[in-house]
Amino acid sequence: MLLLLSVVGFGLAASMPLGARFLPRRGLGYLAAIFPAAVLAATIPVTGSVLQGVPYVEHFAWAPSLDLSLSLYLDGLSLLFVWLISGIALVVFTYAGIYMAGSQYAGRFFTYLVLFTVSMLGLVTAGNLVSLFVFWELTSITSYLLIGFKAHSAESRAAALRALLVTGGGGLALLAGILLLGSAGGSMELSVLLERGDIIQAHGSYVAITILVLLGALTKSAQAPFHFWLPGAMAAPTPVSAFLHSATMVKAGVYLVARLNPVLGGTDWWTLPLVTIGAFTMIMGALRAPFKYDLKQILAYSTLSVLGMLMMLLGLGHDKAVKAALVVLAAHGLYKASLFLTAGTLDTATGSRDVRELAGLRGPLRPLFITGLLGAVSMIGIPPLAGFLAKETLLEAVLSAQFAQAVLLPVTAVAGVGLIVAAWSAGVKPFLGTPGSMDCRPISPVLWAAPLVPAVFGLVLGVFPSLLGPLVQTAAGNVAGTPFEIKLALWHGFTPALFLSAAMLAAGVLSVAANPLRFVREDALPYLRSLHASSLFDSGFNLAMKLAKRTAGLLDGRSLSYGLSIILLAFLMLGGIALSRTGLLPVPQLTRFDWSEAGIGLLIVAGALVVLFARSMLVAAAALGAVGFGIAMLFFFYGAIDLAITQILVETLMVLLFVLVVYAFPQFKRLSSGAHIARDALIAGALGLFITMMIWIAGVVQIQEPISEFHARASVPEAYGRNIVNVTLVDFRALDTFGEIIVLMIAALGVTALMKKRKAA
Amino acid sequence: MIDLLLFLPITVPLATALLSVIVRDRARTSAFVGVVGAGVLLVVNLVLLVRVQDLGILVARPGNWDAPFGITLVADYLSAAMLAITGLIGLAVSVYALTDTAERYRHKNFFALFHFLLMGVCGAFLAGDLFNLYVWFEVMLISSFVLLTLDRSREQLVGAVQYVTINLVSSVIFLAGLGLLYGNTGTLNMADLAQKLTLSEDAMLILSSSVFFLIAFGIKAGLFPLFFWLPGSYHTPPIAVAALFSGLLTKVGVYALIRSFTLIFTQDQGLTGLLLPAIAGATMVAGVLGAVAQSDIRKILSFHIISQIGYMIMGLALMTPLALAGSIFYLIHHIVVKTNLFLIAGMIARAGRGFHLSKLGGLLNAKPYLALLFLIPAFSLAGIPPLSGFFSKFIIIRAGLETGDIALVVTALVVGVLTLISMTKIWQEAFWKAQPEHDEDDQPKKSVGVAQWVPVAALAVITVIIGIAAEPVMNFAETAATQLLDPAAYIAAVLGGQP
Amino acid sequence: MEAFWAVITGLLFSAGIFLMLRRHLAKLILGLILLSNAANLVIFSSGGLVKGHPSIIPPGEATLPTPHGDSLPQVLILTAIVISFGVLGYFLTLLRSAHKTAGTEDLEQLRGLK
Repeated sequence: MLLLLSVVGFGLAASMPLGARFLPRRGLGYLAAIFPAAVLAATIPVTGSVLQGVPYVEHFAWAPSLDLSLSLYLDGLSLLFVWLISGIALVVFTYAGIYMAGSQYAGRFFTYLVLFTVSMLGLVTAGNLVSLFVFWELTSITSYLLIGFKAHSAESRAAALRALLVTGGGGLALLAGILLLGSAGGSMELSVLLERGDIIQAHGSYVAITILVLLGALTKSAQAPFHFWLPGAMAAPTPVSAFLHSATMVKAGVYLVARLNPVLGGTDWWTLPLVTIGAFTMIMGALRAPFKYDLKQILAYSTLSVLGMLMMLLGLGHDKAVKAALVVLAAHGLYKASLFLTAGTLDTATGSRDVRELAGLRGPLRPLFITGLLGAVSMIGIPPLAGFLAKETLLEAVLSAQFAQAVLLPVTAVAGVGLIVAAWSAGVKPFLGTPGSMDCRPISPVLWAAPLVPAVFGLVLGVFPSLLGPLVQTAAGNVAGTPFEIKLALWHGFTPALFLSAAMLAAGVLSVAANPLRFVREDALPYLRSLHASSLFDSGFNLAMKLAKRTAGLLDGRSLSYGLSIILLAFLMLGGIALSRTGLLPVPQLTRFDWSEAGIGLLIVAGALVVLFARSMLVAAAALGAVGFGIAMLFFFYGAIDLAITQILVETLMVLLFVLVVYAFPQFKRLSSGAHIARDALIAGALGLFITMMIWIAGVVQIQEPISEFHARASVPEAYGRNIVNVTLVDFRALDTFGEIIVLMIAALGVTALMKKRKAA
Repeated sequence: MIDLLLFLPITVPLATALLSVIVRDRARTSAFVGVVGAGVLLVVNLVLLVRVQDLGILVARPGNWDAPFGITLVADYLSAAMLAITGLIGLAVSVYALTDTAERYRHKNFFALFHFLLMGVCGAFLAGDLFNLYVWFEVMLISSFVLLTLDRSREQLVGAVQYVTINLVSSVIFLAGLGLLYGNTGTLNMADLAQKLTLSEDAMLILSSSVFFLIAFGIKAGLFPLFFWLPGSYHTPPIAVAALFSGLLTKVGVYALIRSFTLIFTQDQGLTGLLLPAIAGATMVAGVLGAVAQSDIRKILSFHIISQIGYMIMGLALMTPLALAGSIFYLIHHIVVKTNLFLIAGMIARAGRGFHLSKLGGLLNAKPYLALLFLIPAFSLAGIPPLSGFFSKFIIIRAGLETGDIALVVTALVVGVLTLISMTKIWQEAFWKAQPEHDEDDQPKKSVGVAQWVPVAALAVITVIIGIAAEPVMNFAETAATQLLDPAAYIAAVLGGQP
Repeated sequence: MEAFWAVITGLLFSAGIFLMLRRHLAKLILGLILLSNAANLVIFSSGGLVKGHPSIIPPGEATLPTPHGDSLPQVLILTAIVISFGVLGYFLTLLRSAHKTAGTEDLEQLRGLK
């Protein structure tokens, strides 16, 4: 099933450019929308049993030796996400088909978008942690391509890169976490791991797992201090923003936390970071949103706030909190999608997203006003919309929190007020007041009808919360690990939550009346603060680049002797380590000293010294010849006659060649400084000493009869030759000689290639 | 039959090379010979791969002298896999060269040298004898020297001086190490060495000569801090040559390291356990930092070779079955992907204006299929699932977590992010950014040849397939790793007797 | 005498490396030539120096009379000498081309460093 879904999705994604070529541009959105519609249809047969609490599980092996399978695990939690994602995808695709109709690259856009949706759906239904990770990374990559879609703008590219680095970097932490989790739990299958929470929490790597998994989730869900990529991601076309924010991408982190709550949750290591970071992000986002004037920025910061809220609720983890998290999740998905798309339509119609300019549009854009109103009212939390339900459950959850209630309650209340103001600015304010000077283009009905759909859903679910009840009930059981009873009703009676809600509304009205936008200046303090985390990230990034430049400077573009010295020093160092490990200093074996041999040795050394200090090429060449000749003498001395002859021959040729080549060179002059010379002499001397010691060791240690003894025995009877060296060359080790000839051939090719006169260019 | 089969990976390129020399004056014939020869080599090596899987380790004895007295050629899983990949790369690059390189080099023995190089590489993968390995190294080196300097431009010659010098130093160190090892053990056959060192009480003493091999092979593999020849020269030759080098040459070094430190120098786990992890980490970091700082595509890719070698050595350093399997998976993946990226860089340079990112731009709209073809290997290199690179990293990181080498794992993960940065840098600059204004002296745009699309697309498809078919590749790599970690079968196959 | 030759080999190594670290193109090749000679000496001297019969089986005998030197290092050195002759010969022409093209014999100037 999951495989089928992926294949169909990828196939559809691949067909988008073709579709763009052969279909009218406006049709592309409908073509793409087939996919989420099909997914929704496919869930119908299993919905009944899933809501009964029986997860729908399928197994498809991919790479069993890597514990990777394409298992499908569809329980209430997954189903909630699947519906949310596919439902909103349906709306967004339809909308985007019209929104992007003018773009030459709509085909490519839909390819990315469908791919992203497939990845997202794969993520929330994967029954195997490794395949979950695969989809997780795919969402990062495809969202990178989507955010950077307007690639000609540098800002867009930078935003895309930031998003990718933050979520991709978090993804790598998640990878490590998943690997540890798999080994602690003995399986990568979700169905198995969900049963083994106790074992894993008792495991030594539990803390590391939790930290790593949370890092992955918090970066993905844009929690402080990783939140900055999300407002930047507004660089994407508006339908993408709507999709990323309402139901997907950032919700992936929420899904992961909810998913693994039964496995990892319930400890301080889980609760503390989630609640503190979540609460902080919630209030930070809610306090900043009212001071934004770009519609998309307002909505982006309010998304941050809600994401923080969700993380906080999941961290709290008691039944009411879990219930609230799921209700908030659903309600937010609906109203955020409609508000974002509304913003996109406003932008298309008027060419502006600045709430200071937008006003009085209720006349020309009446249907859109209804959408905006429904969305904003839901976000504010006024009955009978789903947002009210969400707010009530949220407040109840915080009121019954066992943990830091004294802090969380006021924080939540203040955040709620901030969101009210944001909702007003984004959903209502543009339509009220006196119309400004801006033109309003006529728009396609799809651009107001599509956003209206989720808004109406918000209304329906608010009026009939029982529609949502069974799913939330099952999902909550999945998150908590054990099923529990949930009642969803619009009217709870006069509870503390209701009074609190009313007080927040009053405070919200006052705040709106105070018009916070008055205080906005381009360089105002909140604005500066908003750049804080991202500027930290940027300076970190720049620091890394600088470090890289510096390193590259050390590694590249240096002189040959620099590179060579480092290589030789490494050689010396490793040699030193190796020698020290043998535990003894090699001692030379002293045998009878032979004066004639000593003479040859001195000749060689003297020759080498002359080469070293020669001022003229010819002297150096002659001395080189002397060294070679000395070595030939040594060979001769020890009975290696063939060797001696070859040595003389080759050495002579070499010296001749040398003279032929260098006659064009000027005489030597001193190029290096004294310090250079001393340093090089030290390296050279130490290496020589090391070689000497190694030969001493070789002289002491001889573990077995050398294979050449066999050659000596087999030479006459089997190879029919008396000169063993020759027999070895042409028979025992003929392959070496063969290779040697090839080398000479290639060298000849090379020499002729180099010597040939260059053709006139 | 088996004997013959083991000789073919050496003799086929040799015959091709000699034939190309003979017909070098007729450009079309020479190119035809070059491509057909590469095709035959691929077929031969694939047959060999199948045979090794069917029959186990294959051994050939030229001249019928028993090991260790004669030279042996040996093919186990690792060798066979490397040979198959070599054949693949040989064919892909030779087809690619038809448009790019060959238009300038046909008459200059390009295909002859190309096949001489393949011959050296194949010989090195088959060698069962250390000195024979040295000889193949030299065949490989001298061909690479000549290929590197075909243009005789100043840039090439200067790069080549550095390249040749350092590689010759590596050869000298290799040779000296060989001499010492022979002096100690009286043998050169790798299986025999393994056996004698296992039995010897002086093994610790002898193993100090393993440093020579670590350095010599490390230079060839491009380990930190021995890689100076690589970034200084890989951006100078024509792109087909650079692609061939980037895919194969350093990997021969990695192969030699894996072979020698799993078969021969296994006694002193302390030394390798101490040094290799540090070297692996430093290689990853140095390479990726170098890459991030570059703006020439070829230089970015060159530094990435180094960084990726670090991952392979990390697998070797951990020395568990899983880790070694990871190294082998990595090798297979990396050769395909890196060669492909170099080939694509050549197409980018033709479609845009050269290799420098500041000159490039707008290619996503101008050449959308090239963009797609770039994304596949680039994301694979950065370890994005479900491409081949993801699995390579996944296995190695998992192995690192299992052995508890947290520092290495963290390094590998961070390097992964930096790799992603530098791949997206190419993407953003060459594909996303608008085409910059150009000066008159900028190199003109050229058309991309059909013969370039085909091999590049084929390698991209293979990258995807390695990801999708991760299971069979992984099974293969695991078997190869098991063979490496239990050399008894290898020794028995070479020396005779019961495993 | 092994100990003595080990010292000589070490000295030759040092001389070769010192030369290679210089900035003059010609010294680079001089250094490499010395170095490959030194490597051959390593092979020769670490095989155990035995003064005695050359590795030629006298007519009528079936095997070498003792004492005799190890024949294999000689074979290796022979192969290595020829290979390094080819490689160094190529390297010499490369240096000549580099010198001609770049017009300097200073390695640092060659790389555009000074």
